[in-house]
Amino acid sequence: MTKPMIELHQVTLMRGEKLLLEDADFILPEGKTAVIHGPSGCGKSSLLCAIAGLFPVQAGVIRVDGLELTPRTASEIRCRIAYIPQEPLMCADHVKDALELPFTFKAHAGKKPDEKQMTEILEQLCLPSSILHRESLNLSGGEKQRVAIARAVLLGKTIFLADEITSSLDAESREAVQALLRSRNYTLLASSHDAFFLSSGDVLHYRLGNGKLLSEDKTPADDADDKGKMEVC
Amino acid sequence: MAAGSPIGITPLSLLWSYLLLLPPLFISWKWGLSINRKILTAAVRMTVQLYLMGYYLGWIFRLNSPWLNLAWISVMLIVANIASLRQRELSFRTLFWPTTIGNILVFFPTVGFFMLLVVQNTSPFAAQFLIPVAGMLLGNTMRGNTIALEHFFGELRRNPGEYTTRLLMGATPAEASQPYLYSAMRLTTLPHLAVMATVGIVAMPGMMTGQMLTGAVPMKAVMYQLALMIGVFACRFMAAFASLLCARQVAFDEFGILRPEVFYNAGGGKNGPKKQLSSGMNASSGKK
Repeated sequence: MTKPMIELHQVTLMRGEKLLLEDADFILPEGKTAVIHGPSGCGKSSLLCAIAGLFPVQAGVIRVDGLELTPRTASEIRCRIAYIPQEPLMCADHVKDALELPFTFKAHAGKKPDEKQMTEILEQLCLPSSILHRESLNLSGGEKQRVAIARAVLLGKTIFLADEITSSLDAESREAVQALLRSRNYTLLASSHDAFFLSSGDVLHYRLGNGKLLSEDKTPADDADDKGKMEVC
Repeated sequence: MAAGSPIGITPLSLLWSYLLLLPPLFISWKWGLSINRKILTAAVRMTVQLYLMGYYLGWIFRLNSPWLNLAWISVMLIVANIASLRQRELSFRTLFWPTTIGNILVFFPTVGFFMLLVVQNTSPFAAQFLIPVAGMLLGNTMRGNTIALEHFFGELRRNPGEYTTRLLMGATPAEASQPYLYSAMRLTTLPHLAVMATVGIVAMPGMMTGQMLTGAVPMKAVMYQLALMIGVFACRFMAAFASLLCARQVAFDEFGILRPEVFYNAGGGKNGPKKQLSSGMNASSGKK
């Protein structure tokens, strides 16, 4: 059986008094892509943040790559996860510095990639090598997303949490991102408003709303059997 | 009056200086600026506070007990720290001890260094020197601390994106908060450096003026002023740095998230600040 990379067991999330997710079960196997659909404010981003240990979990257990999310493992889990928001922060003046930044941290010390490695990844994402010397302030939203993805790939991350990433990408860039993620057997959990992922056959679809996370790949009868809870393997 | 003779200020001559308040009061009244009450309140408060200070300093100077002097500057340090935390949105309960420890670690060695090597009086604990020097250092140090702490935590709260982005790239909370710390240190230091760079050109330092008015020759007053300004800068810089490092130790929870308890009014309920953190990862306009 394929290794589960992201697991939610009876997870409940709340934002203030608002219930975002109640007793949700969810398993995403290695190399799979899952997309969570739902209206703005339903808790898609909060769920992704909870998996990264950035949003409090009221109840239940989250496991990433077999590690249960606890204060002790949060840092290790974050080293395996890449969180790509709509418009990521570069945290450096130039793109090259942005790509090298995480390698100044203790967790990645001594693993700094050379310029050739950076260029290779950037080109796979339809970005020219000259972008390395561009100022971060002058990048478009889509360019920032692809630089953030390149940074995650250089860090050797294997799990991607993508928060509405496709909204800033043109068709060619979307294809490039998808091809890169597939070629390396990455696990991707994305939240999305748009239909980009719907065109891809090998994507699992879920809908988040009213505290439930429901699979859209199942029939209504299946959902009834699950009593409103969702689990996909 | 001959150079080097002190001015013999009397209560009556002091009273004349208060007449200088009349033109501002008149202008404020005539133009309807509505600050007459504030001017009068500030003048009265200043007079009462400084007279009280004159009385208790006179008492401390007469006793001249090393232990009492040390106790006095310890009380000054604690009161100043309380005042600097109470003025801002920061939580006194969470940050009092870390910032006090940071200040103690810097303040006492700096004062000791200054008294032993710069003032070089027979007794480094002499009230006449120790209390004014400690007061000068402490006043500036607390202003510096207030700016540094307010900026560090304020920015982490308002713009958490860079912190969380770095955290998600594998940084420890200390590594992730580094840009906020640098920026807080720059903010608290640069205004003071600007004063140092322009002193003597566009402004006459208060302490130096006071010394000359009491009869000191200008070059002697200049030397004291230089020594004190360097001491103030060093103490302010190091105390801000130590306070930030100590406060940072208690600022994040076990997941590396900024604790709401750091702020006097956390707001947003239990999950408020964490929600802000998660939503702050997108670049806002102008952010690189």
